[in-house]
Amino acid sequence: MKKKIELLSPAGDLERLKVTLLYGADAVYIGGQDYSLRANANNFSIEEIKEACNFAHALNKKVYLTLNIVFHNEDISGVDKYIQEVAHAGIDAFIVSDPFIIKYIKTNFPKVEVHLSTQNSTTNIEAVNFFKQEGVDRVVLARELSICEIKDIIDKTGIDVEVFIHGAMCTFYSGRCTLSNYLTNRDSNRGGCSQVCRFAFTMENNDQKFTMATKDLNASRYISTLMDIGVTSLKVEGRMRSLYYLATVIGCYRRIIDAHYNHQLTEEKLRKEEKILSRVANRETSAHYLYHEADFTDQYYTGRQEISNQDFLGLVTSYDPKEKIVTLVERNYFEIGDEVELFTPNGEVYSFTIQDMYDENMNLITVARHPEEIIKLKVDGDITSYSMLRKKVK
Amino acid sequence: MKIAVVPSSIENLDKYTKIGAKAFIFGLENFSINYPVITLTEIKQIVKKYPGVELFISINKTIFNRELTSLEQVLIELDSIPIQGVLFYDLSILSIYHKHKFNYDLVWHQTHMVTNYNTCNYYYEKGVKYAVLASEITKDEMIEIKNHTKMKLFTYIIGHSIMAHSKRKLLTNYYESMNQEYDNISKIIEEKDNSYIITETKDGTCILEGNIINGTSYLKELNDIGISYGIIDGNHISDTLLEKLVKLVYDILENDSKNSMQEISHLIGNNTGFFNKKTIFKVKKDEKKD
Repeated sequence: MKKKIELLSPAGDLERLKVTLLYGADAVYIGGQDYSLRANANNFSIEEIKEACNFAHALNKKVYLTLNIVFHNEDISGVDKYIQEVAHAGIDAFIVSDPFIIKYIKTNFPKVEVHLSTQNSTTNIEAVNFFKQEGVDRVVLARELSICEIKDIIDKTGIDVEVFIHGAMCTFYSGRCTLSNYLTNRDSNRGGCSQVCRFAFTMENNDQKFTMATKDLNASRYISTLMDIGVTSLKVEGRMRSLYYLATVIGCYRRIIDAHYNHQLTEEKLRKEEKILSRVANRETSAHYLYHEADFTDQYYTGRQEISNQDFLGLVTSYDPKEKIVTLVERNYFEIGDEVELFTPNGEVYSFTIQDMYDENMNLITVARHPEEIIKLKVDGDITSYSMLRKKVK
Repeated sequence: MKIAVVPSSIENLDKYTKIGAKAFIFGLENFSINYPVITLTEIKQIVKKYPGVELFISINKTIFNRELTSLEQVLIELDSIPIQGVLFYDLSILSIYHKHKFNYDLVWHQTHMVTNYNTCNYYYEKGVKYAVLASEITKDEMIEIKNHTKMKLFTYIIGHSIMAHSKRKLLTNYYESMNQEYDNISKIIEEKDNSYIITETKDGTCILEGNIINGTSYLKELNDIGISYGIIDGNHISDTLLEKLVKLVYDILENDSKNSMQEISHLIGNNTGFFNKKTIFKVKKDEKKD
């Protein structure tokens, strides 16, 4: 019997890890304080990794740790001790890039899985077979592959395959880009990427702007196909993304996956999820290489086009079922008369128009205008902590 | 140290061999990026005409499933030609190499990833005898790698450094977005006061540093510690300039000529790349705010 597909979420800290697991991720990937490609994210201490693993394992879910820098000599000393500490903290898999690490982990911690990072840009059957013989349990394939190429690799190698389905894209092959090193002196292959591919250049001699930034990835329309061809894990990008972004994106993909399993994924349902996903996007999206050779429609040519999103209105901290009062921390402006939705980790969505709104001391107010302000609303429902209030998706 | 020259074409090999060049690197038609490409027939012609010369073939493009059969075929054919070695990027080549137990040597050439001695030793244990060091590491890191590995090492001494490679056709797409057609000529793009070469082929787009790297001031030290090959990469450099540079580098190697070093500085400037410049990757909190 086919294994159930895994929905894999990023998490930049413990709170985001908990939220994303509650919203339907089956596994989470995190970075430690060293050796990960998001060197400037908050990242997890050993104690936090332990807590993350305990939290996830109690839900029968998994935690993977990125160890995917391209090592320099100075990074070698101490990595063995670090791997030991993380393995003992309960991590389920290491995501690695440098092959000498694979050997070390498989020799010393055979029960911990090794996943080959997309940093290796693995694109073909022979390369996958090489790493399979080295003991790699799963390959995170390059984002430059089509669905047919992915299927071919699964069919002919039998290895577990992880595919990116959502989030920012690199313009260049992962691992084959050092623009950041040359333009900003920050080492892209050791977590210092300064996203030079989103800079604006000029064409010599004509002063025209030249940009090469890509639109983001959104594979929601191809999830059923990826499930049918035997992909093991569907990966969302973004260890530095917000709670709201993760809850929304993971919630959408959870519903798409479950609807596919239940034979209930209709065009109408898919469109609704696409609409919700588009509301948290700060760039336009495309399925990129999954369905065609990426072309000019997958890129931006007139500089940065990023949209600030103010849909997220508040994060629920508690609910009083007796009084039917929800307490939340405000994130963006809202007022009496606004049409809103409260969505919960278990997938419920409550749509309503704001009528009664109170401050922290239960004084009636008409406007919530200060981020981080405690606001109380009257709502009847099965509401839990980490539910979120957003503008209504019409 | 031997000098490995990347010439613009096979026509100029006489010039370089007369100067004393003993090793050349070419790309192979359909399988290489950022190298002048030649055919298997031309490879046979070179080894026949220049028997004392070491010929390395760089197969450094990203390989896709549809190319595996033809890749295996050319790797088999190369085994019947007395070349010195194959520079590889994609691990499919190592996998196929092990399957057939070819006679030629392999050179680990994963452009930006050859950055530590442990991974060098990992590949050495897999039968890979040589590696081309990344251009993004310092001279001291190169020395440390040399001191901890049995691999024979190449390092770039002169050339436009390769910065990035994309599968995307960034120039075709750029012109298409303006309803224009790309003329298949490399372009120069600029950011602040720096310029970069952007070039596109059927295998995608590459960006190279606009200023030529000049590592000649480190040549003696790298030679003394036993780096096996210094690469002079003629990609995007005129034949006339390349010929001068090869002559001058030989003069430095053989006679420790300060005049030749100055002459090179005069010709290509003093961009020493990362030889003496360490990259950072953790940004301090106060620096983040800027």
